[in-house]
Amino acid sequence: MKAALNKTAQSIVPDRNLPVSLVAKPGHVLHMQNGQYVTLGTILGQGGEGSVFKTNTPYVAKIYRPEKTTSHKMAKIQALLDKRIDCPGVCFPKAILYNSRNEFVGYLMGMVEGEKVRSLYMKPLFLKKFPSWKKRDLVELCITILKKIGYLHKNGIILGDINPDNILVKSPKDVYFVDCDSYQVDGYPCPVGTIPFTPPELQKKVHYGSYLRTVGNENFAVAVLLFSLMVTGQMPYNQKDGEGAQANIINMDFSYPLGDVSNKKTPAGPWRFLWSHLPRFMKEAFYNTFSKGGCYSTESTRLNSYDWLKKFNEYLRLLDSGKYGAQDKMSEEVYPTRFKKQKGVVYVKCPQCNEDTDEKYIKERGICMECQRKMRSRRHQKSFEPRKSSGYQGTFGRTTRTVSRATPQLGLLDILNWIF
Amino acid sequence: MKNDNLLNLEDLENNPSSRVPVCLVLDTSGSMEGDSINELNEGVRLFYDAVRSDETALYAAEISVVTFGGHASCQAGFSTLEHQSEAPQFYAGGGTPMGEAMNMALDMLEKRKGEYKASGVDYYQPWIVLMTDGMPNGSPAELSRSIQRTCDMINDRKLTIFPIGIGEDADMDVLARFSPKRSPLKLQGLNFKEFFAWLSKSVSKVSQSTPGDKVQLDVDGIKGWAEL
Ligand SMILES: Nc1ncnc2c1ncn2[C@@H]1O[C@H](COP(=O)(O)OP(=O)(O)OP(=O)(O)O)[C@@H](O)[C@H]1O
Ligand SMILES: [Zn+2]
Repeated sequence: MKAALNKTAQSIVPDRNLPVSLVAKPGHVLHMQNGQYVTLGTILGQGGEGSVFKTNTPYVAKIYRPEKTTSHKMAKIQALLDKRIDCPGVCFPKAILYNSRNEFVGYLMGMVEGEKVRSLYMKPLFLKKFPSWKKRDLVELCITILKKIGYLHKNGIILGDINPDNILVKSPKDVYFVDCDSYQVDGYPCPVGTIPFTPPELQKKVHYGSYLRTVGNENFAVAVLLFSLMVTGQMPYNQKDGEGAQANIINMDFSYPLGDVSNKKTPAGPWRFLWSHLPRFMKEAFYNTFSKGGCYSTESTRLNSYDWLKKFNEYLRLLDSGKYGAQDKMSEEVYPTRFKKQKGVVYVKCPQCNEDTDEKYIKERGICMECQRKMRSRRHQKSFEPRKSSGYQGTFGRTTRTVSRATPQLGLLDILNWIF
Repeated sequence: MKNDNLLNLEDLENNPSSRVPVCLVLDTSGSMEGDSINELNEGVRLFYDAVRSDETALYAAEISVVTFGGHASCQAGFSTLEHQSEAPQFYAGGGTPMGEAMNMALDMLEKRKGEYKASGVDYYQPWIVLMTDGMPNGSPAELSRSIQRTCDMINDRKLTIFPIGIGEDADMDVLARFSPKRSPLKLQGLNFKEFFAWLSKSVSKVSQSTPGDKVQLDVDGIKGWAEL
């Protein structure tokens, strides 16, 4: 029995389609192995693999499209059932469902509520859905997510396809994981994945379903998810004037600075501020995970969910005790509008935007760095105004908005602001 | 226009969502007069409404519109519908400078892609929808240049094109020359609304995926608007 739980991908027979001769519709009666019946209700949603129906029970039914019912799907659902584990919010299968002709059609699972993590990635949506959230809520959300992932890992389950559409958020403590039928369990690989969440060592593999992932592989995806929640909506390898995400992951060209090391490619916009307001130990953790040569940057050295959990618990403690806000109140906000204040610097209001800014900078320039930057890019943009209509020749230069480039007029203070 | 441009750059800074660039390149020449232009207007309005009503697409899809009726003209530059007011309104008139319009669309696309890269915003493979009810009669050199550019991009997997003919007189051969990978389709009657409903669903689907993913488009849905 023990051996059967540790099958390798090689020893598993190839996947094959299990034919279904009846298209499931609302009103159809399905049954489970134990003989109990469920009746399908209205369709809640449709995805690439099938539809999710309400039922006459408190549970919902995921019914695959006929071409998606395969032997691996069924074996995997059975394996998850056999594990007899329960984790609040993780929509594990509750039972395999068969139609009146005894064909495997899908499974029963708990109903989920909440917003996809993807909607947290978009500032206007975030503000609409979670208007009262502070940074602490995001940190607590990470803690909730990490506990669930840690629990799954402990039970030998790899999520495989961690992404912003598979996690739903109702509140910082109330989080749901869906699409559990794609999890890697019992030697059955997870057939899906996305580039931003795939670690460098797996980027070159052709087919997500052709190999088994390790916890070390998955710890990369976990770190990407945490980063995207803390630098809310950004991916660690999106960069200004750089290569595409995949090349950056392979090169481990991380776009955010630590101390005075930076690739100078941090995306323009407020993301630098979100990064700046993270505590130093969080920045170190992300930096060392995502940068080439970092001490947590390889499959075997990456931080696992429990390592991250300790760090996030510490961060939450700092925020909730008021200690972190004492240095700079803005660190408690989700979207800070300037860099984090530093000890020993005198702050005055920028006459243009009214933000607190380093007194020395105002003395030197009259306005804050951000206002200065905006003016620079505005000037730059002016010289690239497109000509209109039929005379259009289309030879526009690429507009580049340089902030981090060490241009000659960049003073010491710019650099100082950048690195912290 | 000037402020729009600035706004579109600032939007890239403030909204890091991966973008789905879509350019509608639409024939508004004299022959579109009457029901065709009315249905086209209605279809595009519906498209704007549908994209706007999808929370994800609203912040991810960047729609631009180029028309060719007399001359090539940019009716809307690439931006999310958060930053566009109403759908543009078209009037039929003039010749059919299709090559000029396609070149304009491709230029706009290149410029916007440069802006994505410069700001660090990821994007999906761009889409161009090319609709005509006739035959191009602009500069032949511009036409062949635009065909070459389009095919190069499609073969490099940097562009997806949906070429669609309207009515009996649509030059399906020229549409086919823009589309090395799939045959152009002919619109069923004046089913613009059905087409744009399908397009908005496809855009929503893509904006719910991750750049680089293969997205399965709703093939069955095509039956609702194309002569197959
Ligand atoms: N447990 C659930 N409770 C309620 N609704 C659900 C549940 N699971 C899924 N849904 C709804 O059904 C839709 C499709 O489900 P799901 O995403 O699991 O299908 P899929 O075929 O795996 O989709 P995808 O192609 O996105 O992987 C979802 O968008 C959601 O609206
Ligand atoms: Zn200012």
